[in-house]
Amino acid sequence: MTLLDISGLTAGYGAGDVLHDVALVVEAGEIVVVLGANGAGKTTLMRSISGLIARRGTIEFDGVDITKDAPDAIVRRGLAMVPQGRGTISELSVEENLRVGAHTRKDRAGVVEDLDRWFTTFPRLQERKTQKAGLLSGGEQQMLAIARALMSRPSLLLCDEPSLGLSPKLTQDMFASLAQINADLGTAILLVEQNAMSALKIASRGYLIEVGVVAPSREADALTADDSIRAAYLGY
Amino acid sequence: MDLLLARLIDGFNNGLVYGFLGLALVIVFRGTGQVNMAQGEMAMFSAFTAYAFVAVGLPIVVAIGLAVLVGVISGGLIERVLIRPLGHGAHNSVLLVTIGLFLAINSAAGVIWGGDPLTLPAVVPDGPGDYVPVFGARLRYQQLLLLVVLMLVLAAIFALFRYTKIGLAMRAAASNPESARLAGMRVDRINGLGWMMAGGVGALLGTLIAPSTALTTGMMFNFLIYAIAAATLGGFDSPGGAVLAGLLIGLVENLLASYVDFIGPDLKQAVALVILMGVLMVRPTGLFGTKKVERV
Repeated sequence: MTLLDISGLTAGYGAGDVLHDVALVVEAGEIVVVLGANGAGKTTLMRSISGLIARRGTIEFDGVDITKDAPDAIVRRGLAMVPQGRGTISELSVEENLRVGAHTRKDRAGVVEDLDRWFTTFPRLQERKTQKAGLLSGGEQQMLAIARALMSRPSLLLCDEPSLGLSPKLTQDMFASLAQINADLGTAILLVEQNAMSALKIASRGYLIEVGVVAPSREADALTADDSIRAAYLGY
Repeated sequence: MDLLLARLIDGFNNGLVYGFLGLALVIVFRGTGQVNMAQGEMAMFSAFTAYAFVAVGLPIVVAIGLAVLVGVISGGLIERVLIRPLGHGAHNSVLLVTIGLFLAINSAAGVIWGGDPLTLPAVVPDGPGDYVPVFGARLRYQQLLLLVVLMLVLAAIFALFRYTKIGLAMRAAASNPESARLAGMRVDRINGLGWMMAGGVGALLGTLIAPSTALTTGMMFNFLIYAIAAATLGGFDSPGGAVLAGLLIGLVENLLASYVDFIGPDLKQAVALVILMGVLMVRPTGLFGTKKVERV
């Protein structure tokens, strides 16, 4: 079943468009990665899907056109995003950050259950439950950001460069956590990454994005094997 | 000794007003990151609104209740109609709009109620003999009432922020609006709620102090300057900080004006602002403001 179906998507910031006529599909329960160099438009793509910036074209999520929806309406439909830079709400405690993620939910018992789940999944967060989130390390903040987004029980999770600023070891752990979440909860994940090889290891398909244009998707293995990634990043 | 106590009480009374209005400023600031220059005038207009309700025969307590309600609604309306359309991050525009609003409300009150001082009845007995003696000094019932109401409002705001979902949403939206939106919050509406709360707090203040200040269109003007000083000194994002800083400014200002000859009543305001500048040089986030903690 197709969860996210994007066609003819054009978006940008005021003066000029950054994305041109993008088409992209995510199936339910799938991990898809979008690869591309700095400035290719990866973050713009994520921000336009989650409703943070103006966009034209068609974005269908779960069979509903969300192109004109505001971010809060999109979250309510089950599409959550971990923004680049993690979006930590630094003045709130770790637990409060997670509760913020559950803002759209009405089932108190379920929220408590999920708090428990993420504290078990990420014991570091449990240890720092009452600390201000701004004091966490980069890796901990990334865990918190992912857990916060998942507190809304989304069917699709967007992750904008989750490995940014993390050590290679933490990056591996973080990708392993994402794969685990996908396997356990069946949450589809659309991942934007510079860390191409690690991301492709957990993804089933990948898209290459070059200066605002997205090429048709290919199997993750096929992308890993050939030279198109190097070409996308390095231009030769 | 008696004189000192009387002066302390005077300063404390003024400080209550500074802190009360500073509190309203802080509530708005936390949401939109902007000082509402019209906050004092909104409070003044609310006091006149209460006067109008009293004039048609309603008891003063009911009139105050209605004036607070009107204050809440007009706070929400102002945010919705004048502030929200300016968009996020339009700080200069918001500042200008609230200054315009200041003038508009002031003139409107002048047009409706005229320039002569009116009298708003007090909730508690406010005659010459209505005070609690404190070691020979006088703490008037009206001032005690103001103190109690301010503490109740502060406690309510604290409880709201600490224990409720909407309070958590308000804090999240103040700290990181984008993340709040991505969590499904309607940040605009949350800010609107802040304006409504501030409108109500201001209305309470206006109606409670009008009996002692006399009801005029200029009644809040001086207080606004001190309230901005109190909010800044308190850190601008701390409700309790604004109240404490307001009291501090009231006390220090009154003592210095009384005991330092060359300051006197003329340089009173300057003293408050000099203290403010001094504190900000040492602590740029104010006395109780949150230092932005961030690890990159």
